[in-house]
Amino acid sequence: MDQLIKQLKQDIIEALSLEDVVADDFNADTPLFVEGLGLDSIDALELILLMERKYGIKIEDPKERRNVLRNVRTMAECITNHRNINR
Amino acid sequence: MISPQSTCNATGFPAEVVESVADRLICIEPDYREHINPIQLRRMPRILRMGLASAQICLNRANNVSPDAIIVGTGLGCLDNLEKFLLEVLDHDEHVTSVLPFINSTHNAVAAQIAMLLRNHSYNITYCHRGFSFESALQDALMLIEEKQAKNVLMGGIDECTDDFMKLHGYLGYWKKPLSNLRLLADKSSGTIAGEGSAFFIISSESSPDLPKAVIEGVHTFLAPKPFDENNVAQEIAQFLQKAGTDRQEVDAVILGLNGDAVYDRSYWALRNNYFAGHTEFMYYKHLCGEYYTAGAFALWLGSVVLENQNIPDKTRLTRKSSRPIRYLLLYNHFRNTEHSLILLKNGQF
Amino acid sequence: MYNKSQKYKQVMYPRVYVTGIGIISATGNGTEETLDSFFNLRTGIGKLSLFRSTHAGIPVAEVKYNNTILAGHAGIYEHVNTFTRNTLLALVASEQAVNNSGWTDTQEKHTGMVWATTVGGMDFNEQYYRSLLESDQHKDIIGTLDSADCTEKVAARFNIRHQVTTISTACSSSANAIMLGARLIRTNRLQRVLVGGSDSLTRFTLNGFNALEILSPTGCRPFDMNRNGLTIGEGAAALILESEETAEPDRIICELRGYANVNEAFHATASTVDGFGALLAMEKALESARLKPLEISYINAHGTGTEINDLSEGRAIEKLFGNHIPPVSSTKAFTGHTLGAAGAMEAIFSALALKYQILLPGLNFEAQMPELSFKPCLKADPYPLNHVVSNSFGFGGSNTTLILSKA
Repeated sequence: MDQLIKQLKQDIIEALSLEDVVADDFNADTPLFVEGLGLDSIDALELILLMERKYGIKIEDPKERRNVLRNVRTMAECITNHRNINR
Repeated sequence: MISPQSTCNATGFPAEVVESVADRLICIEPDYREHINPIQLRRMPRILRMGLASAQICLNRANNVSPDAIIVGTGLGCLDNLEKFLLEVLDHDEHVTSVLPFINSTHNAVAAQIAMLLRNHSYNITYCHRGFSFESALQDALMLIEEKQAKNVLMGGIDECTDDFMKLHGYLGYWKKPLSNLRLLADKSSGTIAGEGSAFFIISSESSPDLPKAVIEGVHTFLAPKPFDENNVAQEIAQFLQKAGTDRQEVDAVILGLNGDAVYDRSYWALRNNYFAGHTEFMYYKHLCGEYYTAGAFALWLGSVVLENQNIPDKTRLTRKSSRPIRYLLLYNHFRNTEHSLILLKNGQF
Repeated sequence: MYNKSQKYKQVMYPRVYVTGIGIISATGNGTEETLDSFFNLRTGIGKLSLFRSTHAGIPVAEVKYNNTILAGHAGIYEHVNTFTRNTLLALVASEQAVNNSGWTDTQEKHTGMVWATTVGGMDFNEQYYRSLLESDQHKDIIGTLDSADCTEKVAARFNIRHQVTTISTACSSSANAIMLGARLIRTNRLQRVLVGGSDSLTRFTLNGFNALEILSPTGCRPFDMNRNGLTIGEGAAALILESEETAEPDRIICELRGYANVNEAFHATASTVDGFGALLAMEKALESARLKPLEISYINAHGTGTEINDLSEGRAIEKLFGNHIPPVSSTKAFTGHTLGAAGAMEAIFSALALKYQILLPGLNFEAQMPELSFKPCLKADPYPLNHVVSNSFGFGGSNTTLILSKA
């Protein structure tokens, strides 16, 4: 799980060009939207695409999206669950 | 003005001219973090950064006046992001990995971003017609002022040179082989040197004691007839000057869009040699900024600097110095003999 | 003290009339076929057939001609392969408008052209770009890739050499072109101007909108409670605008009475949910037309069928018109959202509505939006029309409203 979180954090930083923006205290539980990183709806779309293209997970329901994209940990959990189901 | 010269932070003509040996001139860019919030900056392709920073610098110099309109001219828009998204669509069987390049590829992205940053809800238009892009934007600004719809218009011209643009237009013989930009006119081969830049201006209905005093007397654009006819250009200039209440005898200086292309520069030389009065001084500038669709913006910047200081910088001078004051200054430019444009400036002091 | 500027103002602002129109879209080629679609409630939305795509299941609104047939309609018989689909569409529509207006000699009036497009020669970009990056085999089409190509080809067709330009502001592009054309006349720079816009269907836009998740999987349902996105269309629309000083009275179709462009300055692709930008655009347009909301007979809405736009625009209409909301509809369920052509296309529909004194129908409507007090009109019924509002709201927050009036 830790390995996945580390990788996911890197993926997010790359996908959203956050290299110069992200502080050292960006961790698995930092909120991505509203507070914390303060990302917006375009970033949300990019993250959805990331989940789909790299991790093969399509999340269509808006409520589910809000839950999954809460922070890096919730995203990693979603990926892990998906992998378990597909085993 | 962000250009291949040190114009970012300069208010007048830079003390030193930058020499490059290349087939294209690349902008000297500021530290964008001084002008744009890093959180917004991260998402911006280079052209958006250039546009926003130069608009911000312009507004700072104008005491942060709130524009009544925002108008941008760009020949290519965000070509870089357009290419990016296009190639993703083509090469990855339409499985795109990012939506941002698509959003940024809309031509009005620069104007829209400026509006968002300023929270400005006023008239906001983008022109994208090759060598007319900047001049169309300028004319629109003048029209708004005539119509009393605006007092201060933020307008600019911006284009970025991309590798792909160089490659494709290289096939068409647009460019010279790499050479020193300072030898641009001395080189007799066809083709020119590519360039890029972003220049923003406040066009105002009122003059102000501490701002540059160039008055815009008129803007005119025309498509040259085919086959090209030098007399036609002379006619267009004559009619334009007449409409502005003057004539060629009164033009004290002309800034020509000479770009070193042996074929396309002929019309400029013909005018310089045959049309204007003996006292008219001539200047050129594309060795400083390169050739690009909105190079007219660089010329307007140069023209306003010349008028304000009543001095033609040596590195732009084509003719011997004259002692006459510069009252009327004409800008004449064309892009490969197709889009021709004229801007007449007058010194507000006289 | 005598106010010289007031008098100057009166002399400066001649009325602007529409004297010619031309259109090609998914609903047909020319105004007759288009009107027939409206009367018979026949949509132009259908299956993608123009090119192969991973998204072939998404409905689109194609012009029902391939490029060879379009070229014939555009009067192009040589070097057909050097004309982008966009340019062919633009030529077809412009030719109609010019003929419709009785224009025979460009030089008889001070004439200019303002065109609009969002993706220009993108169809050729898609066909040739990869190859061009590798070799110069297809170099003869390089000049067709940008946004100015179709403008200059149309200008060359009619020998228009002055005041030629292209506007690109996403979905409001051709509405802004119309606005500029009118202002060029009113500031006495021109007596006549060819204005309009064009865009062809491309993988680029299909994939772009798909990535933004705003494409309808069923065909757009403007102002419906269960609307699910927009449908992309293609086409071209051209109008001839003329000064009242030089227009021939029997060519006049309607008047372009007012216009306004504002910027939402909120988000790159979405409007505010309360309709701030839409409201401001309509208010300013009414101000420019010197009309009150009560005097508006019909609204041709931007109405793309996306969740946000219809809510945003709907709310703005409610706020502005209060208890006197005129009939409203969006024609995008017929033509799809034609991007660069949309503003001009819908201005033409508004002109036709005024000429024939009919409302324009919406389609795919079943359930009223709970947030709004109105539902779209659904039939091309006879109706007394004096003044029509036409809205075009685009990416980048560019919001334009035009007001057309019975002449």
